[in-house]
Amino acid sequence: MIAESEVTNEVDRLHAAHQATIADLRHAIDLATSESTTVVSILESYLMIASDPIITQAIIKRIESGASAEAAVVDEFDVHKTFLYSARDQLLRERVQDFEHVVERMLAALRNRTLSHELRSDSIVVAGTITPHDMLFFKRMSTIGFITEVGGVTSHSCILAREYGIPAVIGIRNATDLIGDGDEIIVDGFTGLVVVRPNDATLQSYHKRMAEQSRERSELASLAALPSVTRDGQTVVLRANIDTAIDADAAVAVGCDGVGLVRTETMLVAFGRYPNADEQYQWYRSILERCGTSSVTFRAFDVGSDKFREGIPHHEENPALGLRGIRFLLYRPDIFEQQIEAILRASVHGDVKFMLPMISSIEELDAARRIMDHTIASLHSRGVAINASIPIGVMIETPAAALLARSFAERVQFLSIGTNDLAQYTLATDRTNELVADIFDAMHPAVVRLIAQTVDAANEVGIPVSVCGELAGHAAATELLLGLGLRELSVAPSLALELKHRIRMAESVACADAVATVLTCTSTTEVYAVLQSLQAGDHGRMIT
Amino acid sequence: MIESTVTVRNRAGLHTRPAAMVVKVASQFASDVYLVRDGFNINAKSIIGVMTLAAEQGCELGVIVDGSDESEAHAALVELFHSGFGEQL
Repeated sequence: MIAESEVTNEVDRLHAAHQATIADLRHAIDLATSESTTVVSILESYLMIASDPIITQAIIKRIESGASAEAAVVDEFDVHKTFLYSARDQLLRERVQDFEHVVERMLAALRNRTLSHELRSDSIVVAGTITPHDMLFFKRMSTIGFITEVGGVTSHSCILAREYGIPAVIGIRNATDLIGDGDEIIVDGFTGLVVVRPNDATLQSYHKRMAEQSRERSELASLAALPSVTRDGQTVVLRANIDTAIDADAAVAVGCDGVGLVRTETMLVAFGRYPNADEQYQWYRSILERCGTSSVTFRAFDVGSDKFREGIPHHEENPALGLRGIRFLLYRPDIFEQQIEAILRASVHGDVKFMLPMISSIEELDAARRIMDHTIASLHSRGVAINASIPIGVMIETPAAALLARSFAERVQFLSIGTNDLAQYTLATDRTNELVADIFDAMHPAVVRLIAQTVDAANEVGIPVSVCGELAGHAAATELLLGLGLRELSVAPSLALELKHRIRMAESVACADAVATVLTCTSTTEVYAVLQSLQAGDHGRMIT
Repeated sequence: MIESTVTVRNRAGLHTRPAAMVVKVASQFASDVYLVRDGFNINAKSIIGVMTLAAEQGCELGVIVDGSDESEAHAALVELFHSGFGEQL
């Protein structure tokens, strides 16, 4: 309960948050107008829900009778959600998501978490945390740097920043107190250094380094047309990890040989809900059309309550170990079937592969296949044109899957190793928790051995295996991965040329020798030491 | 005051988009507009109200319009329901 004297303050907060939410949505509609009428019509319904005058009055009444603004918003919408939950029609029940989305936006505005949208195009954003959703917005605003108080190097926002080539420093406690509005700051993503109000000498030295980097980058650009082969003639297939059709253009521009990972859940952020099969089909098709005859691997929605909460029945104490990836898809076969249908339909427009996330048992693969077979049969009976024999693969990102790699390899057409989650689950280390950030390292010998086991299993059975995790783009890991026998890597388009450069500098035989030693290492430090002794010159330097 | 009954004809029912259309049309008029389902009465100018009717295909709703432009408002709403909101019937 709030005191009577606070009522006016709470109502003012509500009004401010309300206006911010509405302005936010209007802005989003403006941005989306050129892209998709579907997205616009969804945003417009959010706008109408947010601007509903009758509900706003009801929320104010709740504040006047002692509720905080947050509680009033949540409670009022809960009443209406209850009505919808009891709807007989599934489609109408799902509209609860629309309410939830608006409530979330309102709460974010009340917490003042949504940052000012009047950002200048050369701004650096300093925040407590940044959601991937915010990140998409900042990308469009040409934000030039990020500093956050919470998070680890492999948090989703950080991965996005890296993919977009935007410098970010994370885990700076009190950053929002230490840095003021309008302060000049240097964000050094290489060293994780933030310089507030730098002096002239520092500024100059950074300007010089930026100029050097852009020169190096243009040198790299000439690599785009060159093949990705090691010095001793081993060809490495280099693919891109992408989120949108625009990223596919970037992948083609840097000479990637197709797309090794499409994170289809990005579409959910854009739509704010689960798009139907028709909408998904258009989205998949637009990516395929940009990739020509090169293969494109779509990963089924990898959602969990930390990534995209809608459709998950309740709060989870530990989302990383919860209903996510394939578990969620099997829990919601309706959503899974729509996605399979859309991918099968799109598969006539290109070379499509389909990949299942977060697999930890053979039963999950079997269950997914049954749903797939069922969908194929239903599409056949409707006479829809599809390619029913697209290759199916699984992500190896749990220790369970890595240990069973051979069994999976015998049942699927390809394996793809997700090194972040594999490290997180093997090391029992939350990759977004800055307190244990120093423990999290995919170069840990336990993780390296699981990767080695997976690669061996795939090679014995004779199916392709790739790494599409962060490790593939890690400057120090190229020799390790080549030495382990990997010949397919997938990275963000912004990292592809740098990786190609390292591949072209590497000697696969020497890498294999070094890896034999690496596999006897018992500590992460030893692994790094072995790899460092292998790297000649400065080609291990990171360019972000 | 005008009272009548309409039927939800489109297959997907009164989901977000059609609900938004109802609100848009109702809000163009000065009259009070209410929709009634099973004795449950909501203001048709509130999208949340219209959505919470959870009116599926085939559902019958009462329409109550009261005000200076009630006949125009009533006609516009009846036509909207009859057209199935331009969706698949």
